[in-house]
Formats: sequence, C-alpha cells, structure tokens
Amino acid sequence: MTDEHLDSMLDGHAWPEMPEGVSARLRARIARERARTPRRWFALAAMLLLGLGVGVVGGLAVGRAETPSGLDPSLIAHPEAPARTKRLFFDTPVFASRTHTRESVSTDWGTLRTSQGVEP
Amino acid sequence: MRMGRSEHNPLTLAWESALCLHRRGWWSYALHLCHDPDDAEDLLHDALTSILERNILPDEVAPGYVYRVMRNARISRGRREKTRRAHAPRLAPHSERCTTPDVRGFDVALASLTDDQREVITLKHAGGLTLEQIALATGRPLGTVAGQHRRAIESLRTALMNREESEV
Repeated sequence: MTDEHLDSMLDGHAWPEMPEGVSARLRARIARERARTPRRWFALAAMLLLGLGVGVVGGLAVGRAETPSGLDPSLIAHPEAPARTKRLFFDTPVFASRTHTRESVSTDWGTLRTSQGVEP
Repeated sequence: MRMGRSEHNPLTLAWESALCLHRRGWWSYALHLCHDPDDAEDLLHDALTSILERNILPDEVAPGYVYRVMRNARISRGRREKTRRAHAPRLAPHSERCTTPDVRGFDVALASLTDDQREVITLKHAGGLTLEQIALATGRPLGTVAGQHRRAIESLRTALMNREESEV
C-alpha cells in the first residue's frame, strides 16, 4: 500500500458532513453578526463620548472646588495682575471663588498685603 | 422577494460562500476538537463571531485562519468549561443526537492515531490544507507537523494491513 494510495483513501474518506440545520444556523449567525456590528460601534462611540463628558464636567467641578484654595487671592487682586486673570477668577462661573469676591478681596487687600508681604 | 440589507453586504456574502465551500472541513475539524456535535456547532458559532467582529474578508486571511480561530476558541472554551465543571455537576451526555461518524473499518484505523496525528490528517484531507498551512493553523513547527503526518500515514498503513491479514 503506497503513500499515494493512502492519500487517495483519506481524500475519498467519508468525512462528516455538516448537517443542514447547523449550516442554516451558521448562515443566520453570519447575517446577524454583520447587522449587529455597526450598532456595536455606535454604542462604543456613545460610551466614549459619555466618558469624555463625565470627565470634562468632573474635571471642571474639581477645578472649581479647588481653585479658591489653590489660588492666592492676594496675587489676583494685585493692581498689576492681568485683567484676564481677574476676569477668569471672579467672573467665570466655573472658576468663580466661593470664598473671595472682587469686593471682599479689595476690602481685605490691606490685610493681605501686610500678612503675605505682597506690595502693590 | 426583497432581501435584507445584511444579505447584500459583501462581507456576509463572502463568509456565506466560504461556509458553503469549507463546510465539510470546518465541521470535521470542529468535531475533532469537541467530539460532540452540539459543542462543535457552538465552537463554529464562537469562531465565526470572533472573525466577523474583525471585519475581514475570507480572501484577506490565510487558508488555515478559520481553523486557527476554531482551535483558539476551543482552548478558551476548554478553560471556561474547566471552571464551570469545578462549580457545577456535569449534565448527562446526549448520545441520541450525536452524529459522530461510526467507528468502523477505516475509522478504526483513524481512531488508533494520536490526537495530534488525527488533527493533522483531518486538516489535510478534510480541510484540504497543505502541511505549511497546518503548521500555521496549529502553531506547531513545519517539521513537527510533517513528522506527525508521516507517522500517521505509517500507523494507518500498519493498521489497515493488519486488518487485511486478520480478514484473510
């Protein structure tokens, strides 16, 4: 019995045929998976956007909470401080200080100047 | 008759025709890996889902790619099964629906092969892969695959000759 003979026996062997039911279910799966793929991408993009939104809002909230204590109001109230910085600190709702207003910092300026050694 | 949008999709059409073309090879290999028609079908579903998620056409991959994905899916399923069995009693086998080929004649000789040898024989003769493609699909070196094929052929020859002698 030669190798070629065995090869042809194996090629002609009755290898199991896929049942029709299995084949039909696989075809249905192919069609269904393909139809589902765009929705998956859409869901992924929506989740990314949601994550980005939550990150931005959270970051701004943390920034708002930390800005008043993190910034030195005496430097912002300094007469030579850039007007843009003052606007950002006092007038932008997100960064606006809850503990310092234009008026309170201006009123306390003399105290701040002496206590922190900042000269106008 | 109006057809659904997915039926016009080139990816769907390509994989459906690949299924028609390779159904015997895919099914034989799935049965070889699972030894159970239901598990084999689940394995094929897993493999096709995994492939379709990657949005690749059959022409864009090597001929043994699907077999490789099936093999990897089987390994993953095996790990999950192992975990599941550790926590739950195994259900009774359902031999009634099993359509595994009868173990007779030539099948007896095939059954005498080792698992790796039978895998090579299945991929080569049912799947129509070359030894190089089998090496890629199984992740084994070409020399190892060639050796397993040679030993499988030798074992088959010996088994068939012994059978002929015993019949005489």
